[in-house]
Amino acid sequence: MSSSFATPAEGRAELIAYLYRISRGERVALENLYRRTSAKLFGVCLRILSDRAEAEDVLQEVYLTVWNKAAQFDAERGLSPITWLTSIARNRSLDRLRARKQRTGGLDEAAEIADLSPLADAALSARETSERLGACLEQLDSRASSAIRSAFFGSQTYEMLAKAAEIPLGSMKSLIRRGLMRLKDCLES
Amino acid sequence: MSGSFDIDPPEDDMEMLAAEYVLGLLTVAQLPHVVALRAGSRRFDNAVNQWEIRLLPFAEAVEAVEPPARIWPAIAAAIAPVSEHSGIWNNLRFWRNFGFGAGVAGVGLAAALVAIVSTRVPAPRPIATVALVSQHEGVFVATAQQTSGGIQLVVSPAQVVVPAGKSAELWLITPGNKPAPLGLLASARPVTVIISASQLSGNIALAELAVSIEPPGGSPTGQPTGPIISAAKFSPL
Repeated sequence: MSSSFATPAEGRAELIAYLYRISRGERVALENLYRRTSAKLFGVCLRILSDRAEAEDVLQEVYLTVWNKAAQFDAERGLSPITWLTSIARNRSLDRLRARKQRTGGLDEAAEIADLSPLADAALSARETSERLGACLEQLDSRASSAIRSAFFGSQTYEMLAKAAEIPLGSMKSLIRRGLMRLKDCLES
Repeated sequence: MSGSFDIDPPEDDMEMLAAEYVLGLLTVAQLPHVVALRAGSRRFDNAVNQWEIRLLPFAEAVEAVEPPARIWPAIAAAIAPVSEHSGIWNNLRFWRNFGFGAGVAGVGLAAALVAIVSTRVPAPRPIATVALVSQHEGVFVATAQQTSGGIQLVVSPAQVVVPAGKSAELWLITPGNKPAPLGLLASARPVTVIISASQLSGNIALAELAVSIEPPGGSPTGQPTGPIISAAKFSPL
């Protein structure tokens, strides 16, 4: 079982081939894809959910989604297969996190925010970011980059981020929006 | 991104909404609007894709963690070909185990049923519930449970007035698919049905359960033909 490839291009071609075969209903191709990518995607689920049992559930959902939707993968859109898979894993995990938050309701919201702050701190570790994205984030206001990271992994609304940072909602919105536009410019320069 | 947007909202707003969507900053209430916009506007959809390409390296850089060995067999079981007879309607043994004889009255059983399913069955794990309320104030509760053979749906006895000579039929509705018939509701006892993962399109939170009034024995066409008296979404547990 391995989630690393000899070269990025080889890995990409291999995953695209699996997705094509999965879209034709080949179960063994899903198994191959699982062997190749499940550790990576499980890492993503765990990172967002911080709960092993939930992450395991979501991982299953992710591959069932891939089984059903492989035909929708479109390499022409510019998404690499691993990015597409990662986005499914992240979106499913965020759905689960939202459901959890809805269930725990308003009273527990403060606790949820408190729980997420160590997560946000952990996200600051450089190994968790690609070099380019990391370099561009470093150019931002540190409050903006930290809010963007914790939003990415925690599915937090502006209200929750503003509360956690103890700044007004409007300030948090403009902080993040400015940060995102600068990030975009930096990544495209 | 090159190219400019020539429709409202202006490019910057669209860019920002796409970025906020990808980051997960939008409230649950805003999501349906954005999903619809994404389906309706190629430009917005592109903007979302571009932001995913920009921001997903966050997730790709997360350390890999080997999942437990039991996960793949569960996935393999869920995608295994389903036999023709998998729609287990009257799983008598299941109900006999819990003392639900045919003579047990339906009224008041729904809440008790959910509790029993949650506490007395160690293997199947409840993953979602749905409460259907009909116009006639009948209520049925269904609990979806993950089992080794797929997702088992347990529907409480129907406390609904079905016109004489008609049947109440249960349907599974998933995005982009036609309603899938799940069988008839029974008024005196709970019914169970196995739903395959492919029927659910992977995410139970997107699935809906509906009940329609049909000719005796169920819809002759395989699609609802009579009025839908109730429909509700699953709430994941």
